[in-house]
Amino acid sequence: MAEPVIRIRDLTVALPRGADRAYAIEGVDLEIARGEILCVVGESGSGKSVLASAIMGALPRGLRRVSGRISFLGDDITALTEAALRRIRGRQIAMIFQEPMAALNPAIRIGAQVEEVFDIHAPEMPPAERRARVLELLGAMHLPDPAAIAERFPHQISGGQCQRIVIAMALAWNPALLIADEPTTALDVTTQAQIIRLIRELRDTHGHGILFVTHDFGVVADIADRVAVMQRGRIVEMGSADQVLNHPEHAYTRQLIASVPSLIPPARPALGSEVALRLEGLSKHFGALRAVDDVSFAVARGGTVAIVGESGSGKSTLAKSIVRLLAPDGGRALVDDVDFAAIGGRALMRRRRLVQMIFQDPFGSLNPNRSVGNMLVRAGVLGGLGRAEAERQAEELVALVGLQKEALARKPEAFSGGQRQRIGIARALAMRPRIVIADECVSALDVSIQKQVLEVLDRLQTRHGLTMLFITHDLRVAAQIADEIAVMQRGRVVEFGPALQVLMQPGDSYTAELVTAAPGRAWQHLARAE
Amino acid sequence: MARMILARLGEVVLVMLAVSFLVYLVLEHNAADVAVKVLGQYSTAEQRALWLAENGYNAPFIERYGIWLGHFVTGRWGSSTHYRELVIDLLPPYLRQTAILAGTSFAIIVPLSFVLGIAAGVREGSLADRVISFVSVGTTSIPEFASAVFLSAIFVFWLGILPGASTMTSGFAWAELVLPVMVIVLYDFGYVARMVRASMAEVMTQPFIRTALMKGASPARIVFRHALRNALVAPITVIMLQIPWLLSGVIVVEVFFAYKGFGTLLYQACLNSDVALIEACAMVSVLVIVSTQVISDLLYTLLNPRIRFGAGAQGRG
Amino acid sequence: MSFLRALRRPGPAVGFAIVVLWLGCAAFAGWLAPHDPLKSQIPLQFPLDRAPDGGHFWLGTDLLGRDILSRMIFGARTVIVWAGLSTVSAYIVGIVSGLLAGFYRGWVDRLLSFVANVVLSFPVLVLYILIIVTLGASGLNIVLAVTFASAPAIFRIVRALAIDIASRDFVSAAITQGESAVRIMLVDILPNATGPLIVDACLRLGYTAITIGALGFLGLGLPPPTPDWGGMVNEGRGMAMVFPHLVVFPCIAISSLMLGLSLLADGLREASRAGSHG
Repeated sequence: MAEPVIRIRDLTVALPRGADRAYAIEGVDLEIARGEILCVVGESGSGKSVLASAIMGALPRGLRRVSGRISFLGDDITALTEAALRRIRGRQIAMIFQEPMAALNPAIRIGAQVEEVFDIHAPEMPPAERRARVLELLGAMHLPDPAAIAERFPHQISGGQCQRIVIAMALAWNPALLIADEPTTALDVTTQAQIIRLIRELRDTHGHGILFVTHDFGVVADIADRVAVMQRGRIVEMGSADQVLNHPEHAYTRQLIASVPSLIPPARPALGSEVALRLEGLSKHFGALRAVDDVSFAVARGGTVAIVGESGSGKSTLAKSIVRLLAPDGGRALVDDVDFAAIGGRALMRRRRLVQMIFQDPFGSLNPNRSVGNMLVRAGVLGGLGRAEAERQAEELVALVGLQKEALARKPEAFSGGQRQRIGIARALAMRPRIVIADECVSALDVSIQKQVLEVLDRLQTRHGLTMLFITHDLRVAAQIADEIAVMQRGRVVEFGPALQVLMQPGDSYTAELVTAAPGRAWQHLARAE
Repeated sequence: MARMILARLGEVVLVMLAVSFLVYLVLEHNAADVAVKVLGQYSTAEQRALWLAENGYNAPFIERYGIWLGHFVTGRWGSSTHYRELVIDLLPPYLRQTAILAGTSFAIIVPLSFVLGIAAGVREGSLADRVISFVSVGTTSIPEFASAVFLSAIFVFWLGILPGASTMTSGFAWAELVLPVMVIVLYDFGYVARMVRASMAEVMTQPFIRTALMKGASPARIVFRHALRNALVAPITVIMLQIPWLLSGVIVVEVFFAYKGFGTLLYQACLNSDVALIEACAMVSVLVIVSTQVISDLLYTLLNPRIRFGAGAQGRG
Repeated sequence: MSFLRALRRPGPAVGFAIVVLWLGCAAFAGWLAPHDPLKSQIPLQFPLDRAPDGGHFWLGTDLLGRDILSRMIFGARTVIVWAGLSTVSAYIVGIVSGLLAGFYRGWVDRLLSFVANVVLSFPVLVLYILIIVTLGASGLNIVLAVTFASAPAIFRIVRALAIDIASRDFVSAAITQGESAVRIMLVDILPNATGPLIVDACLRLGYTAITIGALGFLGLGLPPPTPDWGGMVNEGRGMAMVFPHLVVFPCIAISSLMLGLSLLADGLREASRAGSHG
């Protein structure tokens, strides 16, 4: 068997004092062969990013390698000097990260940044040849008009294009090993699919070994040859993709896989005909940009409509327009015969309780200076309850979302991301709204926590008749929770219908594109079919 | 871009108008007071009434303001009661002196604080960083009149190598400039250095620095090619905004060292209730400050590629 | 609490000690000062010379025979009271206007920002000179001038903080609940802005003290015989060659106060930065 590109033995990295555990990663053993893609998958805090950084000696300040050997192409790189490591970086081992636009220097033109890789490792190369190789590289990344892009600045191109350029820089010298730390997480799902395809293609042509870090099992299914699952700094399971994905042995792996939402929607009870929210031709413009363009559909009482779209689709703007954080420019939004788009001033203040919102960022959606009880009681009072009633309701709500009564006295800093989202749900319900809009409220959560929060929402819906408008970019989440799905693109609703229909037999080409691009589609279909 | 500049200039004009109104309001709303200041305390009521009538002070306030403004923009700045000269003839030499003082100080502050700030910010928490930060905090704590006292004590009284006053009575002398410049530099460089440091430290944590590191770039290349270009944008613009500070501090320094500059002029004007001179000095100092703000905004626009070259396609696709 | 965390490092701890020392002088001046600061005794005594009542002139006496140490201790009260009042007053104006501008934006913001820009175009001392020429010199006029000069800078800081905090989801949540604007500003925005504001307040108190000192030095400050550090430097300047103690001690006083406040502010800033990364 050929020598593995990289072999890691017993790697341990210590965290600074005061962290929640002693080691970021502990006793990690792994190998990657030529042309092989190894996916390291885990939730936040699993140590997967630390592992990626440790290989190249790029640990953040405060973390230090305590033990272990890393042998690259047979040589021990843990013992190398910084100068020797620099010669390897960019040339034999390359690394790409999560935020594509931030990874490029905003003040230097793209062509110059890619040229720098040649400048650093082959300073004697003549400029003409450098230029030619850069353009060749950009072309290999399937970038349109490489010469024009080379003259641009990073903020002038899209995130997906930025990531291709970062990949171009990384693969310029055909490194034996590419380390990719969540390279597609910040991208739209269709772009993600393209980048994954690109990486596979490059691997096929050049035979790089790739360490691909991700939190998404769907992505793992699409790209991995072998899989390593990490939990709290340790590798708990490792094997071929088929082994880990279809026959997981470790309980944690099984739990994670079970939490991944499937594209196949479960059976849902039939809905009544009563309508909770009706949108008619709703529009919102920002100058010439039509962020929300003539949107019309209805949400049945007790049902959930998921609004799915990529960035720039207008789904968030739609949500904010309905809840009146923005004022719509046209159309109607009828809640109980009240046109939310039209009322203003005092009338709006009185009616606000009818439509409430759950927000995306668990760490920004709660006032750090207020206790949970204070927030919930105030919401109740604003909704028309007396103080004593509001306090009683606050206790009920906290229990409803699965938290202890003690939570009322505490401030947000005492809670985890998932718990904060539950508090957000409780707050939204405190005003007893007609309809709740959930704006990407599980997007910032780990997949297992995501599952718990979705279960809370589901329970609220089935037992308490909650009507919900659920905004998400993840089609799989929509599949799990929606009765009906609306697909948005560039401000318009391109498709609307029952979840099963939209997902299995999409009418619009864009919807079909989204469905095809959903990560792990092939795997889940097979798995469920068994 | 051109539209932005025009809009900015329009703002400047509006601000100057508002300022001129404020200045005139504060100093001349009470005509009787003005008469007292110009003619002196011992003038009689008739003399004052006569003077007021002759100089158009019996007109309504708005009219007076309008006329004064008209005179002001055409260069008729009145006459100084203390120096007995036309203000417009009086000001330039004093302005020139202050410009020399401020210019020399600036020429030292900028390179000094940039070098120190970069050295401190490149490696946050290092020994260099802590020493530089400590020195910066220390020197900015000593007000200019205090450091003037200390430095005089050392260089004039103890070592005897520098003159105690900077009246420049026998023509321009560099030696007399040393102490005033030293005082200004000492007070100001610490603040600028800390700003440069903060900006540098922040840039060093940005993701694109990590990218450069992963490309195999040496520390020197990372600092000079990648970090500086982005770290210096903010400090350069903020340095321009140090000039208002300088204009305040320069008054203290000039008075201490008897340096015949703009600050001394304003000070004398204040002591002598020299209305016309105060008006002119106030307007000039405001004009200087507003100009530096405009230049600062312009520099920021030019140096920041996001603003200069605008955005193209956006989004995560 | 970030305040206590800040004090764990030597710099801020020293700063805090210095500030407490001067605050103590200001508060207990009557008990601490060995002599009456206004009483003329023997002029131009050197430090440690004997006083007629049997005690010492620990730091000497000034031109009019007043004990310098006592004047310094009472001077602390003068500086801290007037700098404190001015800073508080400037903060009230700055916070109210900054919250309004940052929350409402639109024409409110444009108008208030314009006014701030106009005032910020004046160098501080020029502003003060304008006021003193018309209104005369007094403690209250100092407060007025300093308020006028500082409020716009505070306005800008509060406005920027308010805009940033208002962009966070919990403010959006409050709006969707129909919370009144005043309550949002006072309950949601302001309490989350206190961190940077306290840091700024420490520094601004120092800068104001220095400005008051500078005014005293220029003879434009509080009228004599009020003990005023800047004024003491001004009075003693002519004789400083022979009697350096006339000027050196007040300079040390004001520098140490500013240093103490700077170190404390730095420590608070570091502590709040470390705390937020959690």
